[in-house]
Amino acid sequence: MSRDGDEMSATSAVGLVLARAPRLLGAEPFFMEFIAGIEERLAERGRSVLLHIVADHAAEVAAYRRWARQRLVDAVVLVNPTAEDSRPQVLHELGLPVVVAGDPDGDTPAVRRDDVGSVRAAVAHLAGLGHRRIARVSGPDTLRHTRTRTAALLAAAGPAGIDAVVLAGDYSAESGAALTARLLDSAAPPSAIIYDNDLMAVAGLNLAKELGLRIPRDLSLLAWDDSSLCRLASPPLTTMSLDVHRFGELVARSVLALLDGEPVRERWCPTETVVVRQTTAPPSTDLT
Amino acid sequence: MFAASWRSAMLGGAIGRRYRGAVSGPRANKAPHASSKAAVLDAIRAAGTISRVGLIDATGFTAPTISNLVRKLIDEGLVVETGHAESTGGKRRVLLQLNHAARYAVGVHLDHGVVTYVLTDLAGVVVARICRPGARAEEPSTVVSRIAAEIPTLIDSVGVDRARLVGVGLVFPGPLTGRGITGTVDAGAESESRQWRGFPLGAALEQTTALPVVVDNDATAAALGEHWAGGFGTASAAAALYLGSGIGAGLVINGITYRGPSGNAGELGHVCVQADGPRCWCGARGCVEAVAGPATVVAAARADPGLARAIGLSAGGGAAAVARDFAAIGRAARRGEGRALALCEESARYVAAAARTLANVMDLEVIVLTGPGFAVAGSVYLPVVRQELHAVFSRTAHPVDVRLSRSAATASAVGAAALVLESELVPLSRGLRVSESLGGELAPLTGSSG
Ligand SMILES: [Zn+2]
Repeated sequence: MSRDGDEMSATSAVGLVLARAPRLLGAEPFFMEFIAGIEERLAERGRSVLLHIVADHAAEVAAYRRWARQRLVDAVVLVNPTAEDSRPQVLHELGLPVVVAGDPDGDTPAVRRDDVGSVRAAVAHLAGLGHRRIARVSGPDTLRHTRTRTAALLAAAGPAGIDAVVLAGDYSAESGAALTARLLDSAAPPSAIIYDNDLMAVAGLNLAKELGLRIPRDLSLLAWDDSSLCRLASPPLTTMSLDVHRFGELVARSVLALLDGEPVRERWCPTETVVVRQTTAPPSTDLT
Repeated sequence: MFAASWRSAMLGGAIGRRYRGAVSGPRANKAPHASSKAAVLDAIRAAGTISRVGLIDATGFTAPTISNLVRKLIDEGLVVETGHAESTGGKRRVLLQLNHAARYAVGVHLDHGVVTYVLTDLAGVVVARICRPGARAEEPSTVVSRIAAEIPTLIDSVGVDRARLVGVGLVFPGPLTGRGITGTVDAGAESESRQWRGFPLGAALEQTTALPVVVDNDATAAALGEHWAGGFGTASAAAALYLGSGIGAGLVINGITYRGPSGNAGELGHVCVQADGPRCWCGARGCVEAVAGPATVVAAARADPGLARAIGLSAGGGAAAVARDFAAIGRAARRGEGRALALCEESARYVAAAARTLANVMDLEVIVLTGPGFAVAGSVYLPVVRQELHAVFSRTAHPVDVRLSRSAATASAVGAAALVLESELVPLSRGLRVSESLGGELAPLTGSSG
């Protein structure tokens, strides 16, 4: 880890690989704000974020091997941890320090999001309005936080007398629209739909409007990842709001502690809150 | 607020020599490229995927010509066949697309207090990005060495063969003059700027890297990047409003970036919105940048101790601190913090007025808000700008569509890479001016989804 000062000032970077399909371009605002938060803290110590965008998992692992071999980064921020994630082990073998943004694997240093608390807040908001049939269009089921949220939703729904159904999407607008259509076409359509990101929620909103539904009177929609897309939607989407910039800052603090050889305590993002806009309301009587 | 510290610095490089305007859309025959091969390559780029028959329609070239040129492009590795179009009864058409990994370009945005680097593929899609501290008080030659050293590191980090790099686009705030560039690359004291006067930054970087280097101002680059990403749709008159350390705009008219005879078109920050307003650093009064630019918003927020404390504003000087604090104000406004929101909305009213002026003068169809300022505060500004333009243009021939860029945070660096891709791979014919292209038949661009 230790490098001389000259080398440090020339190249010292923290690596972050984003593996995503090109069509998920809409993910950019979220990640750029996250990275801006990391950069703001790292810059105080003369470090930068090296962002590398790849198409798939294999390319991501290849990047880590290359970085380790050429000593191009001092540490890695790992995003989107998956259920059986091989990446922390790979990074460990390569000798690259890692901080996980999300649920960690074993004792890997991590900055966690309170997915359980956030889902409870979302369900409480909808239940408080009187919804008893709630659907969720989730992200990919391979992601840890998708599974955590699903478990939290089912755990919160039962005791509250809520029927909950989860369909797994892939964060794209296409899947948001298609799964919303399937839900609305079912025998017992939900009166409220939760989406795991902004792109799917906006697509779901547009589809519901095309079907002639009056939002929120006929159907309530709740998005995740508050973004410009949600704020500028018509009507503006009620969302779960994470302080993404703060998330990045917390990750940077953990990275700096790791590089300083200090013990890295587990950090938690503040629990997400419901930002009430104009897509959630009590269910209309003919739908409940 | 920002001194014109780099004013009259001669940062000459490839302007006028290598640099020309951009062309997109399938009307490549109407867009005078330097070669028919460039026209075909640009038509493929703009379409995303397209058949040979589609290329005949798009370029106006004959079937044998298209067949020949496509074979050459495939042999050079720039274009690949990628499956078939859906059958329409006749024989199935083979689709062509750019071979994204065939070439790469580096975009460098030398901004106040920070230098952003991106590496893009042949289609202008970002593969890697890194930010480094800005020029500050360093010697120009030191800055050139630093940039030159960063480029191979960036390429190595993604494992790309250095031979595939076509060149470097280098952009910075401030207007161009003649063959050089003036402006405020770093908001330092005037004394710091003297060493930059007359320094040929583009040429020096070209010499150090042995790569083609193209220079331009950051707002124009952002507009070209937006155009390449398809963000202007089919509009024949579009603008990118750029909110960075200052306010600027880049124009894309009929598929070509319009920079005026001296490269000074789109200096939106110095549109007057208050005849008796405060004195701007440019010497005039009431410029929108002086009345409502990021530095003015930050100064107002810092003057409110309660707000400054609540949202953690720094007391630090310098452009980097202003950028950081403007972002903090924008985030607070989005959260609904009342005083931060009021400051942003006040600023937005003046920005909207300047945007209306630009839309009126240029008969704009699309305005895209971009740059780091709008990346954070865009959702606060956008409704205000939209409303201003809707109120005025609802009576006229067409509405003005106002959108947020999808790559607002790194728009200039991405556009810088597009600049060099364009000049090296799909150049326009020598000496093209937008007035010449406007002299021809005017038809809206179609299918510009590349
Ligand atoms: Zn001015």
